[in-house]
Amino acid sequence: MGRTFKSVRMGSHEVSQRWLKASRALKKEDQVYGQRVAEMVKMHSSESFYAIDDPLEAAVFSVLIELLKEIDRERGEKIEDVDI
Amino acid sequence: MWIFDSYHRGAVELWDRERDSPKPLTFRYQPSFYLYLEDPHAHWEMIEGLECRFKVKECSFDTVYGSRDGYEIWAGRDVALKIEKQTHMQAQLYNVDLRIDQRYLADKGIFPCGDEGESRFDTDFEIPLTSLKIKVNANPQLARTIVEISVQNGGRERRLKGSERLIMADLFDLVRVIDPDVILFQDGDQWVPRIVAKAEKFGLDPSLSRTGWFRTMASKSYWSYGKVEHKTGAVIPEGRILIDTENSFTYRESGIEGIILASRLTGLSPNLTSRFTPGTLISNYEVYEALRRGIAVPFRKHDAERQRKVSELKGADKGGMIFQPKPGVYEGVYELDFTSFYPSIIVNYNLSPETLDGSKRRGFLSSVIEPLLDLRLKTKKLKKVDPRYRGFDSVLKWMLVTCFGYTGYKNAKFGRIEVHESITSISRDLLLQAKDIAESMNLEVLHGIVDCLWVKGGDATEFKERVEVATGIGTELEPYDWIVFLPLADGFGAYNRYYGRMSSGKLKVRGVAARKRDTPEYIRRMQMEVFAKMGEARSIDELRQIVSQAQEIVDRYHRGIQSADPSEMVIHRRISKLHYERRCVQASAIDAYRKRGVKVSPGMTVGFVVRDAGVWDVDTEWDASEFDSDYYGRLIDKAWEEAAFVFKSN
Repeated sequence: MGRTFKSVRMGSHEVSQRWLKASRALKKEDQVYGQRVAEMVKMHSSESFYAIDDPLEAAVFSVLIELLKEIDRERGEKIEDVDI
Repeated sequence: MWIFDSYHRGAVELWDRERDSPKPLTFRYQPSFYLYLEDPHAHWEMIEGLECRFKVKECSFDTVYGSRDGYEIWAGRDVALKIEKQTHMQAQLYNVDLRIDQRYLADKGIFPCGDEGESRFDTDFEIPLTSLKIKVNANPQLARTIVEISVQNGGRERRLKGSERLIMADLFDLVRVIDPDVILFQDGDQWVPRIVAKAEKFGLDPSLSRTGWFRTMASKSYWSYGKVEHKTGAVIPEGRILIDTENSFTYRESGIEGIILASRLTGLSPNLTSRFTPGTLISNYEVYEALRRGIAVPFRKHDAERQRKVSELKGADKGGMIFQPKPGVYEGVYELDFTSFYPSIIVNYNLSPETLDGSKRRGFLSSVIEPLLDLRLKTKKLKKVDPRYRGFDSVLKWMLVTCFGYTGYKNAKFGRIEVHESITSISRDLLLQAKDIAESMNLEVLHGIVDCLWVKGGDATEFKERVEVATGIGTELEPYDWIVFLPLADGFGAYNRYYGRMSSGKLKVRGVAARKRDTPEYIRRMQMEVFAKMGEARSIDELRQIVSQAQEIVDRYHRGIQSADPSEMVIHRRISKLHYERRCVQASAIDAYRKRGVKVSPGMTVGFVVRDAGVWDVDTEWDASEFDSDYYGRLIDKAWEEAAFVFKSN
């Protein structure tokens, strides 16, 4: 009934796995960033399938959201630092 | 007339309960089929040839796509197949492969298991059938001979013993004297073929059939939703309803009430509705509705999917919407469930193969699903106050669940993949709409899967009302004292693995060991005992206070494993194929079955106990006397981890 495609979520998880593997080839001090980015891929892979069919696009979308959230968090922390 | 069995044997034969006759009503009925040719002049020789041999009438007939000018031909399927061949599949044929008795009933405007003038969609009807329970006291997979049969007539039970011939003769005499309309026979579809064969061998009249005749249904293995299923064949009596209480899905889920309601809705005899899957039932319901409405049923589909790029297909065929949960334990959560979500979308959005072009006319599919949906909404309410409606509600639930899947099934008479895609596309938008409403009301959406959302905080009752107004679909709201969403191996939330305590005190458990059908009873019992203990806690704080009591349950099961009964260690698993390249537990189970002389077919479920997990040594469930306690101990730990997650999470 219907057809079976590999879901965007599954595809994104494969992207994450590849990025994680690729991180191993980075310099030791950069590896942690590679691993964090690979984690970020999976944060929004479920919801993004609503409009995105390409796993790589979904992966980039998810990472960008998480990066912006981190930037916002850092800004918030800095403002708090100033207030103190 | 209250028809409880129907079939075609040269003529349509109907068994009327009100006549109380030992013979059926017989009707001569020669059905016709319709032929439509885009260019009839190109096939004038064939038409003339048909006119010479059969009754042929030029006519206009209705299909779901509108009226067609063609021919009505009074001939059988063999002729239809020759027409297809002759026209190089250009001919469009209708009403070719329908059950003749079903078609006769639809033509006459009558249906099984109901009085004339009654509505098929009525739930207040009598079932004036007498019944008898039969059980052969042996395992049908192992026993070669029958040594004892129990027959239960009302409160009285008789055990038939002696030589096989004597048991058979006594059984047939009893059935002849009691003369029940319904026989509820445990594993009947496995025993009856043997009983009929033995009757022939011993020269006895097999009274299970009121005519002495039986019809055969072949066994088969088939694919369904990516899994191999196995269906046992059957030998079906005439003039009596024979239900295999063990293997009839409809009986197990919906009882005799479900079988009878399905018969009224589909126009099929209860003998068939007890053996058909819900998908075949919904498909036959649509066929009966089409015939009743004078709509021709296509023999083959002519509304094939247009060519599309893979990227288009991927974009269109995505399934339901998911909001991934963050693993953890939550308090004060509400679960909002859409009632009959997909069928409601079909009806509310007028989805049907012929309305995909944006046509405003009422679609066939939506118009036939509507009364079924209304009936389900009614029985869902009724069953809460009167358990008599449970069977009706259950069969309707299953038929409606499969009506969505059948829209995408290649052989469905009124299916079209684009309808399937439209349903899921609309469903994604509706779930998103519900999420937006929740967030606009400051409710946090914790999880969402296809037709339900879990939210926290805010006014849930108002949320429910606003979702219903916005989507036009009914919902149900379930409050939880606490709920746990479990993680996947990578730490992200699993969609379908959760458990929680509802405010009613009931536990809801999904996707964990206790719910899986290959979990041994010992492990299931352990996990359910842990969950029951956890269910005593009404808050996260209370939950965390019972950790030692929960751990004690697990320790007790670990300690008791050595003295546990091997029958509690049975693992039931479906076999998808018969040959495995590597040694694995399924391959060992098949070997063990073969050694026992039991035939295994793909799709069958086998029961086994692991004796040595190191080399996958297993025994069949009937032979197991020992088991690998380390292996089962690991299963206990795995099941405990699912429960223990709650004590570890923040």
